[in-house]
Amino acid sequence: MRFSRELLSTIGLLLLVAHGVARADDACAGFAWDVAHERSVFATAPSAQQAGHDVDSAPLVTTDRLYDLALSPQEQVTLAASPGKKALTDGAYAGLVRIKVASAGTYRVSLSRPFWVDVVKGGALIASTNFTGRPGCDAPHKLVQYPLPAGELLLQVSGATDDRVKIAVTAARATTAH
Amino acid sequence: MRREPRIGALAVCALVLLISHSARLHADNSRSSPADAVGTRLFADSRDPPSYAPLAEEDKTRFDLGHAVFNTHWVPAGTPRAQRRDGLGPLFNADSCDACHNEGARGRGPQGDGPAPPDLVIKLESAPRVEDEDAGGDPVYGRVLNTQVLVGLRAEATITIRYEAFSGRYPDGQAFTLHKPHYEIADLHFGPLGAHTIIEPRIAPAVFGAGLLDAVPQSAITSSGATGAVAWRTVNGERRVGRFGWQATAVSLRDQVTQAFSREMGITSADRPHDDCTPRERQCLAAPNGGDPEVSTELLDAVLAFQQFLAVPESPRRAAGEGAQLFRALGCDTCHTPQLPVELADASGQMHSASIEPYTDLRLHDLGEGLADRDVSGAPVQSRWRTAPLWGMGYRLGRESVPRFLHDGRARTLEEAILWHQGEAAAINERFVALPVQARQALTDWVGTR
Repeated sequence: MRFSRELLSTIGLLLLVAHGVARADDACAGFAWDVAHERSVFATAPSAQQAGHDVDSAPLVTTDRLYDLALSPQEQVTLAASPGKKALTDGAYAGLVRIKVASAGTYRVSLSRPFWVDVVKGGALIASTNFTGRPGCDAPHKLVQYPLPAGELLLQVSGATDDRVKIAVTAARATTAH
Repeated sequence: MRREPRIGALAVCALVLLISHSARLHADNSRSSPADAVGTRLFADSRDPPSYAPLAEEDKTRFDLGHAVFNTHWVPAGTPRAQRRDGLGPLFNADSCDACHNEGARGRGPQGDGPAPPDLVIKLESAPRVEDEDAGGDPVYGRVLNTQVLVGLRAEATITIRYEAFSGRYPDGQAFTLHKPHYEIADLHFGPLGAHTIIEPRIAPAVFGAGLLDAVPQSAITSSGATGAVAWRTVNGERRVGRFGWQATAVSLRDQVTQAFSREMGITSADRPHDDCTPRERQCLAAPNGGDPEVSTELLDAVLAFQQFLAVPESPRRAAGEGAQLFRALGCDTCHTPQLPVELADASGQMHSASIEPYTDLRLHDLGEGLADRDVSGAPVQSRWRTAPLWGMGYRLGRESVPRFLHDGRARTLEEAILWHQGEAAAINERFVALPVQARQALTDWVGTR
């Protein structure tokens, strides 16, 4: 395959390098999805909450708000369902919150850390449909997308390597890659 | 830019007519019956991937534990209560196997311009490459450029990818675009890379069926009639066939897994008692460890068992037989060998012969300068690639909304991946581009159901 390109390629590369220096400063640039809404939620002041150690103690959170959750040692937490991903939990932290979804649709759970999260309804996990993330970014770090029914659901963080995590639930927008 | 057809139009028409006729006579007979080939299973739940065969109770226990270890996020040495899972870093690329090989699958790879994702690592190798010898890594940065680091240390570098688009045309006038990656390595903590270092971008490969590839007899890879080259490696004075990794640099699943633990997660094992720290990286060398070794032999054996027994996901889709006929007629099967023999132990430990359908010959092939690695000066370095297995492709394409192909994820479709094949595959590439658009589509559709 032959392409005549040397000069244009060199000029293009120089421009790209210059552009890259500017973008590399923002660790939260380059998400594969449009995360503008989640980024704006993560730019707000979080509401501190102690995550529940079981279903009954799980506090209620709402969509489009940022929460700073305090987690508990996982051995002290009674999870609502077995986590969707098996993992060693030595030294892990966990916690639960409740969320009321006003209308069925596709929602995103965004977290500041790469911790495992499940959505639970009636003791059963709701399967996620996609995820994305950005190394070095914590506002947010990871987003998981779910088809959620209307009503009250549980969010369950488990296997966490730290006892704090910021979390927000938002209605999904486009997930198209750049 | 218009391509010049190298094959006469009549010859191509004859080929397509022959294939179309043949396809009508034979339905998709390219898939052997389940009795003939082993290894594939339906993955009903991606989070609970099955073994390729029923396991004895002890193996099932190790498989399940290994799956948990595979998913486990490792933490820094000394983390309270962490017990079995501390020892991450201090330099690393990801904190779990699963972060790059999600549920055993290949890394998603770069989705466009921007920072390199964790599932694309930059391996470093000292030049010149020498057959059958491990030339070592960069003198300052080691085997892998580690972009993550524990608190208090600095990462080795940042890596940004920019794609340069090239347009071309098939002889039938249809346009195509390829994307060539450029890697911007910045913020190098200890100054420039070695003057003779080769930069090797690599996406995390799928681990599905790894144990089955490990069970292919060496004689099936070294047979004299095959094309390409055997990836001979000398390990502890013993000459063995490399079969894992994009260039078959690892001689066994264990070799591959312990390399990844050490170089990409900073976790030592009994086989590899050191992290990827060079003498220049004193803080790395002095960092506390999470045990000696950091991944215990029990957990290493378990994660190996998980990958050894992990099945290959069956394709949920089927395609017309025309693609299969084209695959053979063009010569794709010369390297993407449909079947290989394996020697497997059953649940009772009895060895038996079987076959698998990985669509690889586990041999090395030069695919031309376009795909070749580059040294720090940007000069291409002759690169030979292990034929990438095609099994599991149908499952992948069913899961991934933005799939990426080839060793660095530059190809955005199977068609683009084929177009990048040059070197030993140049003649096959020429036959592919000379096909009518419907035939090209039939071929890629079929490959997408392996």
